[in-house]
Amino acid sequence: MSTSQQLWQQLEQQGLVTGELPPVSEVATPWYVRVMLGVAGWIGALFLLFFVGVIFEAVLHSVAAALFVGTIVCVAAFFIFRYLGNTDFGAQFGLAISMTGQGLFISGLFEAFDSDTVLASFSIFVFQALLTLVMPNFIHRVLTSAVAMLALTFALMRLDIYGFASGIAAVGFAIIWLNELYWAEHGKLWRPVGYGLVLALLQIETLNFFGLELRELWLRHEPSWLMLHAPLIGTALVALIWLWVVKRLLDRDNIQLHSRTGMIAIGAALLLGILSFVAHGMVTALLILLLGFASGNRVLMGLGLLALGGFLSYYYYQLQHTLLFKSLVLALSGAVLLGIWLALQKYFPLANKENPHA
Amino acid sequence: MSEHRTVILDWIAQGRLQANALPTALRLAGLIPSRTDWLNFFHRLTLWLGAIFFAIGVIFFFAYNWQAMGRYAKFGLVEILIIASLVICWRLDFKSVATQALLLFASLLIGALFALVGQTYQTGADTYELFTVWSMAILPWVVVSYFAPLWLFWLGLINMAALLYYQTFGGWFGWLFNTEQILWALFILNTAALCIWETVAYLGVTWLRERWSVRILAVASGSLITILATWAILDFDENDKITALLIYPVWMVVAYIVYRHVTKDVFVLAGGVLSAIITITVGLSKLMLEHDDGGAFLFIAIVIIGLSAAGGFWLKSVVNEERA
Repeated sequence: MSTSQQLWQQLEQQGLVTGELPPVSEVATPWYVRVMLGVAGWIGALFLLFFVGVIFEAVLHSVAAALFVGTIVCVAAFFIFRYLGNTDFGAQFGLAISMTGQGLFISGLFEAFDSDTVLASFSIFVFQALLTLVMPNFIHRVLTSAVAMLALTFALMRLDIYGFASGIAAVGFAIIWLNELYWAEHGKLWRPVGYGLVLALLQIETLNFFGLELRELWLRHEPSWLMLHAPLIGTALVALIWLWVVKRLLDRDNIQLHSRTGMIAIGAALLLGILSFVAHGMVTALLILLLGFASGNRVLMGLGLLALGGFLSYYYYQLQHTLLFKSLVLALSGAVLLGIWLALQKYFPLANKENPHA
Repeated sequence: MSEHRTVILDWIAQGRLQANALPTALRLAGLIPSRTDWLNFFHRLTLWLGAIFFAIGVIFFFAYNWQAMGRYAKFGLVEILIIASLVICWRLDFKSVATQALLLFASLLIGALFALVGQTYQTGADTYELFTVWSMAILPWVVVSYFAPLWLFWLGLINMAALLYYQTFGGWFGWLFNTEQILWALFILNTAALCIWETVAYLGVTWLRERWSVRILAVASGSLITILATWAILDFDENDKITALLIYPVWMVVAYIVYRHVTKDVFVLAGGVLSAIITITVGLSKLMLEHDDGGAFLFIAIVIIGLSAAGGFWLKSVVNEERA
């Protein structure tokens, strides 16, 4: 007997559910099947765009035509999702059609405004956020919410507001995953947005790192104070959110801040937050890992670990500090972490020492 | 734990479970981590992050090549750390998590030690030799660790050694022409590792059955043969590339049989579906897109959408059958 069947029977005994164990539906599709469908949908959309480009060449060169046809195609995609979205072919067809429409619409926007302007980025943000709300499809919502967040980031950059995008993405991501289970009824909307925001957050943090090189590309004036301190501001915001999440998780388990456990938890969180000001990105990766563990979400945990590895390797190439300084930072934090581990062994031993892969 | 999560969310989405019954369902499924779960998580997190940060700190230190520190002090430092970790390992329970962390720590430091030898005595050795010697030296620890991630790290070192070997002997121009040879070498290496890993796990070595490590190998092997096959399709006129087109279907069929019927793993099957879609797309494009024909683009797009929808349907049915 499978475990979900046992769970169903337990719930049935409590009178919470009735009838047969339901089959797996779209929600429980494993993430890797969704990634496959997303990538394939994107390739399909690319060919559809080529098709439109070859047959209706004029459409791509006229602003009005591109915006108009793009909108029509997106509306068509909405109806495909609405009426055929439950079938595999319908969902996949809708995905490719919608991405084609988006490609046309965005190319129209770029023609209308200079692609480099606030207005272009901001319009894309509004357009993608709207699609996220409206389009009833998981993969579609992951992609559009990520693109919306990135477009907002670029719009803020054009306004010379640097560093705040990480905070916005991180706070949205944290709110969604902290309350995931209580929003379960609306999970069809919020869960994909939660994944989209985390993907965007990692992208923004990576952009912050490569900011120095990117700045060379499109800078026409002296870098502003905000621009120079973007990684610092981003880290500070994410670190604050990280502390808030730790506090919320302590509340969830009814642990007082001034209890021994509470003080150790906040102390460790502060320490890791401070480390992140030297080795950027650490706290972002740890935030993803922690929220993944707290909500029993292995995909998020994996993503957090992957990000941790990535940021750690990137640290080697950061130019602000010498290797000697970096080695001291890492060795020292490693030693502190091992010290915490030893203290845990002594004061909070694990009851069951077997089972290393629990 | 993770499976219950999606299942419960699924039931709520289907309207089969009322949202107000959620707390009870969560408690029954053990979905909110308990105090023990949290403790376990923190033990692991501090141990692994601590060991890895510390070891990388030491590696960075030697990479900096600090002149103020004499060579004997440097050798002394790294050797003392290695010996100390081995002594602690000796005294600890083998197969414990702490032993595994210490073995990983010592294995990382061995790399620093060899790099230090090369740096100090200017041995003139190539970098591929560093990775070869490093992987040879840590092999005994990897064997006794009973720990899949350490095996993966070891395979990573071998991959680096192979890559650097071909880079060194290919020369600057060779590097350009040798890319195909490198891809083949890495494909053979990772496929062999995958076959051995799956066989040993199938024969009953339980600690190798953890899926995520072996999935990384499957992704490496599968992506490499997909790249080789699509490349062969694009350069079909050159006869020497035909091998990839012969090997690719064999790989796909064997993977299907193994991961559908022997060790069911939908992750690898999903990768196979994606690989097939990409290869078919490249094949059709090569055949049909000789002239700027709009209809061909539309046809290929529909084929991609149809194949992926069918693939998704099939994968979901395999998952359902797994859970039924």
